[in-house]
Amino acid sequence: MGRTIALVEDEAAIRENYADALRRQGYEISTYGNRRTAMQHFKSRLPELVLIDIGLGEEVEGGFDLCRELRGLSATLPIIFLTARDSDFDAISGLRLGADDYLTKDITLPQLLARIAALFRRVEALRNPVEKDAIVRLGKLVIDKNRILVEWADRKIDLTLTEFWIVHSIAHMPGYVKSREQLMSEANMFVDEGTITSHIKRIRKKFMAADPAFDCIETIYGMGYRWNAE
Amino acid sequence: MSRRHTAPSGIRFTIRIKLLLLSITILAVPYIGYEYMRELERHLRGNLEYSLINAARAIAGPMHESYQLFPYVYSESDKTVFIHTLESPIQIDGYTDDWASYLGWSDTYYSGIEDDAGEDLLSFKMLLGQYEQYLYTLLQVRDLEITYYQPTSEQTIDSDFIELVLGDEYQVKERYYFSPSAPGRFNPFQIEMVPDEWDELHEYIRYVTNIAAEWQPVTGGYNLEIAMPLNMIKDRMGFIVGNAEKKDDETIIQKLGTSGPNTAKRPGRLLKPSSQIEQIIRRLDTTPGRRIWALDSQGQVLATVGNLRRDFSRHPLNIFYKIVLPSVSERFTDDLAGASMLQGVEILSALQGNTESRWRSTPDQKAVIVSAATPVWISGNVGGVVVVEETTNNIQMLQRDALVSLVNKTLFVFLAITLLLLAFATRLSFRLRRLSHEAAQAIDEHGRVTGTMSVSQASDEIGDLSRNYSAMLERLRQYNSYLESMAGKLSHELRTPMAVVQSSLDNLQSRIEGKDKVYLERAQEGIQRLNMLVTRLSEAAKLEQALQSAELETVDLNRILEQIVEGYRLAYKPRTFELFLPPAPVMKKLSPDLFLQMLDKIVSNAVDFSKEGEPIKIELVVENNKITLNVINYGSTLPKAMEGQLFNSMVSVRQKKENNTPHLGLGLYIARMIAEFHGGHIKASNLQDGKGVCFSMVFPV
Repeated sequence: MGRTIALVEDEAAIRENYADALRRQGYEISTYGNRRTAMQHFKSRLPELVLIDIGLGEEVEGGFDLCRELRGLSATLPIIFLTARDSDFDAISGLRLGADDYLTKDITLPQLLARIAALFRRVEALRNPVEKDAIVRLGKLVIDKNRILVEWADRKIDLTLTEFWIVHSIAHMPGYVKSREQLMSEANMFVDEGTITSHIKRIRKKFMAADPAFDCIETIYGMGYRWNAE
Repeated sequence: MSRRHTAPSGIRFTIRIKLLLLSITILAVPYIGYEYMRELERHLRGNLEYSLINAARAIAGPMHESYQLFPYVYSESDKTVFIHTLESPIQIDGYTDDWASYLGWSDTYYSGIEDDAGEDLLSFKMLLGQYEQYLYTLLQVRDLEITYYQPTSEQTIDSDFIELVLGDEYQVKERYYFSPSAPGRFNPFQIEMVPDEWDELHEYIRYVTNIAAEWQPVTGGYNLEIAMPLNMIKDRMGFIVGNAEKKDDETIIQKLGTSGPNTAKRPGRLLKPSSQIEQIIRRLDTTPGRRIWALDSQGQVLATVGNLRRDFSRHPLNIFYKIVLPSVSERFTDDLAGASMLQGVEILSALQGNTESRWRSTPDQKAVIVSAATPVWISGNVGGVVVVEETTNNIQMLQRDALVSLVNKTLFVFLAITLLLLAFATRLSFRLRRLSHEAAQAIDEHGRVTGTMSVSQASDEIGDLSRNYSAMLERLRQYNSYLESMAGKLSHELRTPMAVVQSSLDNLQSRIEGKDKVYLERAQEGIQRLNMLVTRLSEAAKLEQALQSAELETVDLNRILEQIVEGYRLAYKPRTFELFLPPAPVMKKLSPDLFLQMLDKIVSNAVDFSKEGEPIKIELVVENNKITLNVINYGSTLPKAMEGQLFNSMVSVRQKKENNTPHLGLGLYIARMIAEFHGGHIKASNLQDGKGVCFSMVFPV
């Protein structure tokens, strides 16, 4: 029995394509074309992961509403927004509502599968004992690759998958400049350079929320970013 | 590089000037007023004439049939002497000073006998005046050789003398002789024929004391002044001037009388101002400036009342009016003052029994006198004439006053209207200029609507224009923003079908084997390029959001540029970059990420257009409170027409696509938006030597 994934997407062709691809990977997929039917089913039985499109038919922001209701049902359920809307504003709104990741539809299936797998791994890892070798320690920074977890000064930093990979990418080779292109490929995402910049900005903010003195991610203008160990 | 159309040079006829020129037409109003005045003058003249005739008739009315006022009808040959009314007593001193103002009234008598030089041998002037109960006489006799009376002379009178003849209608009553023995005061005498003891009559000289006389020789003759009680004279009076001339022991006496040769027997009739008529006239008409004459049937003056001259209250007229308007003078020459006989055509006509009026100018042309004459009927005959005279000065004064008032009021109205028009025009032109200014400001040189116009609340045409313009701008702005957001919308709309293709291809991946796989790979390559395109399309739209949430920090441009250019050197190998920085740090508040994004676009553009092997120059210049960042590349130049357009959305000057990377013409547009966000602007120009292009980003310090 595979893990259950719910796909809420109003575009039938995309829905079926993603559903087919995910089924091939052994997941059990249930698909919904709108928020109402999806919510009815979720109320009786929660899936293990939900992929949501923001625009659902008539409801332009139906995905956001669905996300909010789902978070009401479960605080830990992994939620990924998969949408054609690529503006920062939408991304921030989605993540603020408690989504674990925000993906645009130009993502390839392999990239999508990788993220889903990673999310499940994190869920799994949270239940299992910690594997020593999957943990990177760098001063105050602790990265748990298996559980997709980041801690700074013993405080958990709540990062999305994309953010996690960016942090992981620049932090495991401190002092080396990572170009945007490198970051993109390591984060399994294809976005424009501006998106990387806003991701970095968000990451900094999240760290600074835990520790206002945080100053480890340095921008090397024109080149990329670098982790400065204390 | 303004594309605003400018007005043709030269004199600009602004709305204000045009309205002012229009307002000048108001100045035609005084001219119309002037014409109207002339019309009015004609009416007033007619009116004056009419009123004078009426006045003459009204005065003549009570005199009809009053034969006691016009007692006699004389024959024309009967001479008269006229007694004028004097305003003050005369001092009997033989000089004419006291008479100065009456001299013009004197009557001149000629003998008609001329000497070799053609001058009259014997002539004199006589002037009679009455003041209270005295009659004053002035005689100015022309006599080149004065002979004084010799008391020892045998002859009674063999010297120069003047004989006064007094009488009534029937006979001569008295004769007085004025013949002094020396200049100065003397007594006249009468010659009485006194019988002696043989009843033989002898001439006996009796001096009289109730007549004062003074004889004064003057150049070319002598003056005789006489004062006597009025009651001495009766109806008739005459003077005979005798001039004694000694020739061979013989004395020849030439005589000239006021009534010709008849003077001694029947002297001229005395004409005194008739106080009765004067009283009647005074009761009937005392209009100032009006003179009324009463004449007898011979045209002899019986009474004069009134004066043509009068005092006008002087208006303080300024020079302007004095120049424009003819001055009204009360100092005209009055040729008829003191006249003893009137002879105008109107009087002749009145003597024929008609009522007539006449216009005449004074001899000095300073005034025009209107006179109306009407007959006084006595027993069916013309017994006398009443003449009423007035100058037109009153009309002219009225006219002047009216004209001055009109001109003053018109000037005031003109001033008020001009000020109003000026204010109106100023307001109008201010509104239009503001509209024009706002319209010019609302659209920048890139054709972008940068601001909105304040919508006018005015209900007039300019308000409509403003509202229409505002609505037009709004539509233009919407259209522009539609164009600018089109890229973002397009990319968004493309994402879903692309995702369908992408996911379908991904699904096919595992199914297709062998040779067919190559097609799948091509399709995937294609969809990836499509993805990149759409991402770039949405970049501009995303930039706007980035601008809204951009955080500014103060950074050292020198340090940032060093880092950035180092990055470019890595990224664009083997291209070379030359960086020129000012010595001191350049601190500027900006968003480093956006700044970098802007520079990326410009540099990427410069790299694409530069010749291989040529360095790309990046220089930072700080001067005149401005920070200028120049990116210079050597290679092809910009077409002239594109210089302003280059930074607009979806504009590209690329001839062909190099290395298959799609170009949408958004890069420079993004750079411009970032530059403007930082309060600066961006421009591109060809180098002066034509070897390349310089992109300049200019920011305030």
